[in-house]
Amino acid sequence: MIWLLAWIFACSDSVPVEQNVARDALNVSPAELADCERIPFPEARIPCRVSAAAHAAAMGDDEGAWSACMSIEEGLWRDECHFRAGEELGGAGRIVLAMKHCVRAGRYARNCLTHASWKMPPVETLDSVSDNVIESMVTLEKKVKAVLAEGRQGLRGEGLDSLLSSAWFNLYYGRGVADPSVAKSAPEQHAAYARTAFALEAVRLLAPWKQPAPSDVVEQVLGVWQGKSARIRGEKIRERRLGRFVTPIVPEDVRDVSHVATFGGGFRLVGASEEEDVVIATLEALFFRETTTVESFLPYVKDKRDRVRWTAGKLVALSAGQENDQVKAILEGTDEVLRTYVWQALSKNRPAMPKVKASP
Amino acid sequence: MIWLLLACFSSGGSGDCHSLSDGEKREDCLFQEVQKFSGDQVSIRIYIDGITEKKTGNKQAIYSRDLLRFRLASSDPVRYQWICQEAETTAGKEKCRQILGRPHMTQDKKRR
Repeated sequence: MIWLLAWIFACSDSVPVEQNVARDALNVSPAELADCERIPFPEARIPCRVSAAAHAAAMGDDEGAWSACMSIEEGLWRDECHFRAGEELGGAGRIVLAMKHCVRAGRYARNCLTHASWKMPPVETLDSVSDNVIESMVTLEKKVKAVLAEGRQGLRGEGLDSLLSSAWFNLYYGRGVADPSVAKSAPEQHAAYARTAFALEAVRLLAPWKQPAPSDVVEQVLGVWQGKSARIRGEKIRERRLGRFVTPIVPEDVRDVSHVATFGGGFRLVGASEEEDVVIATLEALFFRETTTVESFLPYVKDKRDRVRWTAGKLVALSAGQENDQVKAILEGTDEVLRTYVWQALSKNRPAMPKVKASP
Repeated sequence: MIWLLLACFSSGGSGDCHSLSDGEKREDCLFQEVQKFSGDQVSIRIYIDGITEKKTGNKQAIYSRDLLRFRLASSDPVRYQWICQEAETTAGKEKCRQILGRPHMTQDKKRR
């Protein structure tokens, strides 16, 4: 009998529990920081503070976002908190405030700068034909530069690169006008980004995605740039400002050649002259257009201009893949840099669809 | 007696955490216990899966399992992201998305 009682007591290690502590901890959806403080477990409370920061930032409440992030100890979750706040503020159009969080996002600072920039929505009242474009862009650049100066050295160039790329994209893409005037008058530091954006909108208007791209689209865009043809007008789009993109491909051989950020975090080479750069930007814009096939790039693989040829080689490889005869021919050819470009495009990068979504 | 104790141990599971009537203390006890497995996936999975209503008398055992998963993953996303993929409740899955939906958090720093 004693043994039986001992067994009953020894085994009675569970008691009926009606408390819902675990469920309650998992069910907190913080509208404000205080909501997180009733979670008794730090491992659940800290991510809750990150959610509170993101929520505040999405509402444009920068102060609330800072309070939430600073309530987290330095380390992974505080970095993530600033990253989330930066993304949300960027998406709310508060890009300078977003960048302030990004430079504090530690290990995630670079990701944050890219995400915040590309989530930035277009300003309804400001497009490429507005009167005050250049002034607005220069002011934005100055403000962002001042913020980035507070961050570590490596972030400054990258942050500005992403921001200018996205800001010019917003001025042109989907706006229904491809007018080169403002891109031509852009300050030197903005010029390549402006040409990228002009080319993207020009290609969108000249080569609707549902039809095959005209074989002379590069010449047409160049004609508009040179003033031989009138600026292009067409339908505006507000939604689905998306396209095919790739992560950066910058072979060792061309590290010293100027390149700039493009849609979604990729890079493109900058041409040796303004017109050469328009050709490169147009080829990249054709790749952004998801329905463009390899045939659009093939004529440029034999171009005499190095940067045009290398760009075309990369885009041929990305759009056709390793089994394509032209790609094989390049890989077996004697143009060393072109081969490296094509090889890196094949090995490092396969474009996937659908892509990163720029803000509507 | 030995047989009785063995039978008892195999039926009850995790030390005496389940005998704690205070919910917070019980959840903390479970969390401390699971951390003793030092990242061993099989042991952690067996331990967590063993927290059932039948064995513990806790009608919210499913939430206890998910809270453990989330706490582990949040404490070290690179090491424990895998366990968050096994979340069972809507709330647990939602919380785990804060980690699993953020690829940079689950990548080993050396590979970044």
